[in-house]
Amino acid sequence: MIKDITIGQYIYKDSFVHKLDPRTKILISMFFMFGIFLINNITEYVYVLLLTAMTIYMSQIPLMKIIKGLKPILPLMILTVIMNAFFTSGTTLFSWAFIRITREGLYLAGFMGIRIFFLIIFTSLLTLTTSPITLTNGIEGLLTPLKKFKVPAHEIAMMMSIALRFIPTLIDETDKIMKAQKARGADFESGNIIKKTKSLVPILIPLFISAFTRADELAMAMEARGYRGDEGRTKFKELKYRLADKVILFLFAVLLVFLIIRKIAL
Amino acid sequence: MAVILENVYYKYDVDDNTSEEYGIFNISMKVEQGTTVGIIGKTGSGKSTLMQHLNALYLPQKGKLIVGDFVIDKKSKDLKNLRKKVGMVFQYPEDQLFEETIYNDLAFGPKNLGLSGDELNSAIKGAMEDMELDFEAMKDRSPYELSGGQKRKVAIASVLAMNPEILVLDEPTAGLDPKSKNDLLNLLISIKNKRNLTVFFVSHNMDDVFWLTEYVYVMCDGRIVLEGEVNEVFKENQTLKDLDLGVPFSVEVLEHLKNRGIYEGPLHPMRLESLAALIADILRGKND
Ligand SMILES: Nc1ncnc2c1ncn2[C@@H]1O[C@H](COP(=O)(O)OP(=O)(O)O)[C@@H](O)[C@H]1O
Ligand SMILES: [Mg+2]
Repeated sequence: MIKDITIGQYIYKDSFVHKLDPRTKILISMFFMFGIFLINNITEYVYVLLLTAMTIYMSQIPLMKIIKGLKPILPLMILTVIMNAFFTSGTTLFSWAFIRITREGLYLAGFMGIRIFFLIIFTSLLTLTTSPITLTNGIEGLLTPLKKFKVPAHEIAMMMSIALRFIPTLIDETDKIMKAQKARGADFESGNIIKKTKSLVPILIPLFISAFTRADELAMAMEARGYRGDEGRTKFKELKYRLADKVILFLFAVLLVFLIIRKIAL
Repeated sequence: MAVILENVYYKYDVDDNTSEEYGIFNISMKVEQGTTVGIIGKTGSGKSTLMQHLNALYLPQKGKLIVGDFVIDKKSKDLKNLRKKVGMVFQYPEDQLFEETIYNDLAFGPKNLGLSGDELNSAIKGAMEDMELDFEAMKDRSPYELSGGQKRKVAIASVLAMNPEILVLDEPTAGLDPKSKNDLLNLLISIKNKRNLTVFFVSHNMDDVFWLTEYVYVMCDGRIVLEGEVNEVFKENQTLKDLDLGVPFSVEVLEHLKNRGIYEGPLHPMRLESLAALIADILRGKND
């Protein structure tokens, strides 16, 4: 039940993809995201598929894991496809009562489905191959130039890594409190929406209280150990772009620029 | 209510066929109505998992439980009636308090079971009195403003308010100061007698187990590795030490005396008064 939640799962492997700098991985994921929306013909999606397959292969992440990760997103994908298929105007292919399916709608729906599919795979590859701590380090690294504009890069990264650190703890806690209230006859399954929502109160209140207590204790422990935010703080692992990072970033950037120019030119 | 377990298995990782790690493994036990049994074992030995089977928070994946008239196996449904009979006090039960007033928190369980009006009121009043919490003075206070020991009592009262016939106590004294701990244990003994409960007492403290219980199950790696009358089990001090468990204080003292050659008798667990009397006899030279 609640224990099945796996947000940002990370699988340790000694692979090329794992070893890339987190900033590289975040950036190419973003490039990929933009790029995928600039493509609209099947041949090019085949290339994207090859690229994705190659990345999965190099990451050594079991294919099953990635396919399983797609399952929860399936309803969203289907909904998007249907919406696009039904609500795009153009040449009618088929109509029945108020439903009208157009050629353009079908195209768009197909492409949307494919895009979401790749998007999910690529972003889950990012979290599967990058540990949460490395990921937040990467985000901090990317945000650092923005410090000049008073963006609290370090604080944002620290909050994210603390939040990630406490997700499993909170899940355990929720599990325990749910069981305790069940033992007192609580019922979380039956009833309408209002009743179900109300039944969450006995879980949420203890959970908030313990989260606040923990936050307070953690803040005190951090202060006791001399944490003063960003100033004077050194890093255990300095991020460093290696040659592979530079090459990959360059290739992706060139590809993206090409796609953008083509889009504008056409 | 009597409790019988027949070859109960539970594995957390059901999907993982390669894992041989069971939460509990082939557990059978038979507990008569009105007895107090102790469950001991080091952390991770499966005590909590086993206890949560008693009110079907976990259903056995193999085997079955018989609790009074209820038969529980992996397909059991409609568990509310069972949960009414089996009161479950979790580790750190004060974490589950959530209402604005103590009265309302105690009302949560009985209300879920359909109690209302005078019946509800008297269930709450009875539970508070049994836990030595002043009903009139405390019912409208917030549970959060109490001390640790008092909070614990309120949490246990909130389980007693459901008028269970079986009480499961999973390390009920963990984290309490010595005085609160002793008060609580004394209180639990008198409640047990007053309400004629069957009690399952999970603890790390061998003296508490010796003091409170009649029969003891020792667990290791999800299995019951030793069981018997409390006096018999605590004679096995080597076995217990091998399982990373302690022995009652009295056994420890007797062992030291024996090592020094001033005591030859058996290493029985005993009350501190009896231990003092025995040592006094030794000092007077009446050791026979
Ligand atoms: N919710 C859970 N999910 C997965 N494994 C668990 C869970 N709860 C306990 N376990 C595992 O089951 C075993 C028994 O745990 P538990 O019953 O809590 O032991 P005890 O109460 O004796 O410390 C341990 O190995 C523990 O890691
Ligand atoms: Mg436990």
